[in-house]
Amino acid sequence: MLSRCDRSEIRATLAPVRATNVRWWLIWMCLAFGLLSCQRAPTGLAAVRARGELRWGGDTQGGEPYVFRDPHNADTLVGFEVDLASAIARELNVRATFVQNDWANLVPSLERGTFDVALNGLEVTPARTGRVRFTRPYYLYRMRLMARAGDRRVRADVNALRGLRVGTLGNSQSHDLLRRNGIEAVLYEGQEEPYVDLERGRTDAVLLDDIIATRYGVVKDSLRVVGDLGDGYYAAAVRPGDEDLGRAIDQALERISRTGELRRIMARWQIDDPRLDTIVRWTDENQAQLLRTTERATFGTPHLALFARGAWVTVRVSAGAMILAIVLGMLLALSREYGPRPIGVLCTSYVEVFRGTPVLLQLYLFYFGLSRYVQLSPMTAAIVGLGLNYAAYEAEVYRAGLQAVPKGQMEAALALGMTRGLALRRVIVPQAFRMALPGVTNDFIALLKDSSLVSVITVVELTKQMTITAVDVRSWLLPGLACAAMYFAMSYPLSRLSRNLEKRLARS
Amino acid sequence: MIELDTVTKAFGDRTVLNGITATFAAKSVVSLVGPSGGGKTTLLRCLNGLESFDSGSITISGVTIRAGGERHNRAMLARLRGRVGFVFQQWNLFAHRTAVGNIIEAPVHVRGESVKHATEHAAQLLAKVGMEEHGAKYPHELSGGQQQRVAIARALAMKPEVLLMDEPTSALDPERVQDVTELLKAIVSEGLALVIVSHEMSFVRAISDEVCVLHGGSIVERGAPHEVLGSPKDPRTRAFLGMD
Ligand SMILES: Nc1ncnc2c1ncn2[C@@H]1O[C@H](COP(=O)(O)OP(=O)(O)O)[C@@H](O)[C@H]1O
Ligand SMILES: [Mg+2]
Repeated sequence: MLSRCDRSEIRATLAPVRATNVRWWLIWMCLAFGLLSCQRAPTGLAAVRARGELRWGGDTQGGEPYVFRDPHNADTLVGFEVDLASAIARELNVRATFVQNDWANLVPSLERGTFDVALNGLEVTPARTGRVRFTRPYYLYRMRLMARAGDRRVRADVNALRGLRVGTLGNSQSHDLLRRNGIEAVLYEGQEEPYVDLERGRTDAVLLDDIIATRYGVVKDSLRVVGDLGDGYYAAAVRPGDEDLGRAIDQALERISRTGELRRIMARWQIDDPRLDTIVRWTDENQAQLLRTTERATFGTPHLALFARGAWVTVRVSAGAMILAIVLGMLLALSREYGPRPIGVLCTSYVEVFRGTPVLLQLYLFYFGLSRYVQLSPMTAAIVGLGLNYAAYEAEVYRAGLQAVPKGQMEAALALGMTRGLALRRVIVPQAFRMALPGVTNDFIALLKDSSLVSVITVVELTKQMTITAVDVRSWLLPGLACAAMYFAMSYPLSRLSRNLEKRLARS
Repeated sequence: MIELDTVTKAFGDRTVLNGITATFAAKSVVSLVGPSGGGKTTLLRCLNGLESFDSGSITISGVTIRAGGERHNRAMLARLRGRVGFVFQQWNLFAHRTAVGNIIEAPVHVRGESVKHATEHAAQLLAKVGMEEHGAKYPHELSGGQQQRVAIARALAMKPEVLLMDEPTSALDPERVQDVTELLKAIVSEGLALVIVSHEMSFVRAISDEVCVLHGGSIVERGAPHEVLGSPKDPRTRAFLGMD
């Protein structure tokens, strides 16, 4: 047996090593368990019944008349899909709960188990059919082509659209149709923006579902409906494993259709149409027909070529924006440090405003908000928008650099007869820039990644290309990894450079 | 010739130069001595316009600057600085330029000399200050004494008539003081006036034609070094030299 003294001695020698190791393992294991337990809760019809609630996913940003906030009462959601979800839930003897989710990611979120059913203008496309279990459709829409009233080039014929720029939503059936026919698609992330840009002449036509066209396009006097290029269906989607839930929703929809409630809901939202008769009389045969074509696209070399093109756009946007940010940032910093007071105050405000508001908002305002006054191409708007934003950050980096240049450097320059401007240019700025360089390089890396935001103004860069591809091939894993690898290939050399610069600065 | 006419300067409510009037002959070496805080550095900085003053005027080789600072003296300052070089206490070499780069910066960009011509001249100047082998080095690669030599060469490159030096010996090893004394004597022999601030009395004695004692913002005594330092008349000078 060990005496007390021996034991504490042993503990003293072993403990430091073991305790720290154990602590590290504990931290990492907790994290791993935490992540695993975030995995999905029980699913399927039984789970929905047990919970007493059908969680349905949609995006209020899609707006009228799908799901949107009641303008008179911001706490309630309204829309034909809200009514529809309530009716389905009622048929299942549960209540409906809405889950807000970015529209473009409805399917991945459904797969992750964020909600039980996706119900938000989800078009039945061959790409999606292979990935989710669609219910019977609840709406038959038309792909409606609109153009400027005076523009006679645009006809309701895909062949006539070649060579024109046509706005639409990414991964929509309209997008598929345009891509299949080799027509240049300009991709938006909101419903109204395509029509705004069409009015301003940034695109030649817009191809979108008739519901969207009616709400956002037809109301604009300067636009006209050209015609329809085909039709398609909205259906609810559940996970392929939740067959029982899918069947239950099918039956609920069938009852709702048979009793005339479906058409009444559509009528309430002014989107009823005689053609919805097809939906009411929907048969198993129709369903089999609808789901017959599933696309089995797999991730491959052609996608990598698309990625490379996206990466090239990312590089151009980032480099362009960075050059602007470096020049403008230096001007801002110099004005704040050396300029007359009023200009300094203005520059300070600039920095505070641009740093204090989201860059996404700035891009939006810049591209759409100002479109009435200045018409910038998406690429220009992306470069200028990101550049203006990053200039605010660069200004701060340079300011630190300028302040780190000893006062004696300016005095020495002045004593040699240099003017203040010459002294700044020849003596102060080069030294400040050198000190700021590691920070600037780090910001460039951040900018490289932030450049993915410009997809909101229709620039298809690397991340957007990846999103489109991921939906096409029904997998986020490979496209995601390929995309990450490309970003890494671009940013790693920069981060090495930044570290080397830091080392070199530390030495001198 | 340097003429000061009732030059007054205050920082806030603290008067640092109290109406200084003096004339220094051309091509002579004048040392400013006196207790710390007496206004020596401030006076030196006024002499090439790095510091503005509140009243009075300064004339150097026919160029006059008046009270009011840069805004009122822009054209004059440019001409003045062409004639008056300044060697700082901490030398303030441009950290991002080599020794040669430091020297040619102003000739090329202020005077508009060609790089080739300025570089040749820089080589001569470096030889003169005994630094011919270090032209390609950056300031951080040089010792304090070497940096000072480059700073002197840099000031000389603008061919000034007057060279102002603040505490040239303060940052040097004692053994190096002799070297810089010789160097400055050589420079003076070519017809340059020097105004030096120093509290190294042996150095002042060795180099000066004239010594000025600055005390509380006024010149309280001036004269040849052996007189002022040997048998000072003013009690403040005696106190400063520790003679009472
Ligand atoms: N930029 C300044 N702001 C305020 N006070 C100053 C400044 N420069 C010098 N002074 C003050 O002026 C006085 C004279 O300084 P200085 O000319 O450096 O004296 P010396 O070089 O003779 O030691 C000192 O009291 C000092 O504190
Ligand atoms: Mg001093």
